[in-house]
Amino acid sequence: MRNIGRCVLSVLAVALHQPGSAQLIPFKHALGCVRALVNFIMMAQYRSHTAETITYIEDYLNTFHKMNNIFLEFRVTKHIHAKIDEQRRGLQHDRPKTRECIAPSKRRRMCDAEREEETERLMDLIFCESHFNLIKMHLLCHFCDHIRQFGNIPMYSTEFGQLAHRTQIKGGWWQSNKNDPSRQIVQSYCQQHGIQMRLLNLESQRRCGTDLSPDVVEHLDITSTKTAPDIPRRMLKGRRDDVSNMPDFSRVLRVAIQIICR
Amino acid sequence: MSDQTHLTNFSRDKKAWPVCITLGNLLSGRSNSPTSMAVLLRALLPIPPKLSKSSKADQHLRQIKADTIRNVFELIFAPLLDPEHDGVPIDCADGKVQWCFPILAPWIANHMENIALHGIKSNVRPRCEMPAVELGTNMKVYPVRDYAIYHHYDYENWIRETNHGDITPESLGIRLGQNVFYGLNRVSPSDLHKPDMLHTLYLGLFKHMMDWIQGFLKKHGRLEAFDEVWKALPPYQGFLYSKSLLRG
Repeated sequence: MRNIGRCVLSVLAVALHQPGSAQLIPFKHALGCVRALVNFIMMAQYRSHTAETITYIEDYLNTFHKMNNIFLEFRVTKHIHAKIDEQRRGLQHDRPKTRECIAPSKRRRMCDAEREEETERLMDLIFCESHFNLIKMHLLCHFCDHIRQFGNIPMYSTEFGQLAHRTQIKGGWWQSNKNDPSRQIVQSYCQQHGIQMRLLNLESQRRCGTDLSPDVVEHLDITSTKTAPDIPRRMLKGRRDDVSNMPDFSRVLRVAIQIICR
Repeated sequence: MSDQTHLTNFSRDKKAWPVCITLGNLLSGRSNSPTSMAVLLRALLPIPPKLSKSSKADQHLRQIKADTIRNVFELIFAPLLDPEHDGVPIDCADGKVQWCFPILAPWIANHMENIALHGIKSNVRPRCEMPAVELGTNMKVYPVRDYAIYHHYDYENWIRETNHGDITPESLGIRLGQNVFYGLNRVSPSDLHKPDMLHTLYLGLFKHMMDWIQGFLKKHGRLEAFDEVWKALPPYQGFLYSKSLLRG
């Protein structure tokens, strides 16, 4: 999703090139609206802010709120669909049924007029009923105040929580026999956490220059090459890119490396 | 922070609800890195069953559910109560022992959990008293919620004792006395709520915006052109985008 944000505006701008005379204004509004939202999202990702960047964010949000009427007709919910159906049924019911005596050309004209009226009423209804009263729209208003009061927003990311699930909860779940799983999850988490903390402590001690016994150092070397992030990365992206672990074939086959590479 | 996670679809949709803690003093780069083990699992809660809205027995069960959640969180927060007020000596990384006041600062969770923990309804915000019909407007005039008042009154004496007669708990979208954060020292429950980029922007508004754009393009007959341009985007290092968003 984050990457889509980077390119959606340019793609949209290309897709909307050479507008017709009637399309000129809606296209401009749509582009402006999308641009404001994308700018807002990009600025909200900043790690540090000045007063100027916060005013930029506010401006983008105001522009977005001013221009989002262009997308109002696409915010049609189930509730509104039900109302539309009701209105259509009402119109059909009201229509006069004495059409048999009218000439075909006149009947066609009447039908066209009725259809036009129907679409007009429909659009009116949609514009009256649809709204942007989402909780997510309102949450944006508080971003600026929050930055002023507490600092940048990526700091409070929930993404990390999702990542921690994999190691903390799901690893334990996969290892458990699904029989009273929460106990097993907590147990395996405690074991892993204990070992990891021990390793981190030893690692930091070695960095400080404390003398450790040689076998501890040797074990640290082994574990530090196989630290945890390798596993999640492989899980997430589904590919193996650790070339360093591959055996040196030239030594195994006892041939010069130039021969293999040739 | 707390976040429900999905474990399996089999054996009655198992989910887990971990509650984690971390330190606010850590740099965000360090505390957000999985290897540094900065986030500790504090509790693993079972998920309460979902209840239908209508019947009276479910009302009773719902009350029990809310009370249980509140009691569980009281248990979780119990070790925090005294140190928040008086402070405790803590061994710090530089080898010194310092007098620390651990305070619950933010609660990082998505919206559905916030409403469960703050005891509010799903279409209002934990932070301010904004009615649901004006969420789309860009206004900030509404006052910040005061959970102390909500906690103080029952439903009956809310009507009797507060002077504003037209403001009821329903219109503010709260369930009285169900906030789990109330009662902690030096903590204002309305400040605990933090904006959440992932759920609000990336998974929320961005998705909505793609729907709007698709509708708009369909109306003006430019959807084909949009797809063509999207397909023609060259791959680039550090730039992954999903083709699955494309139509067809």
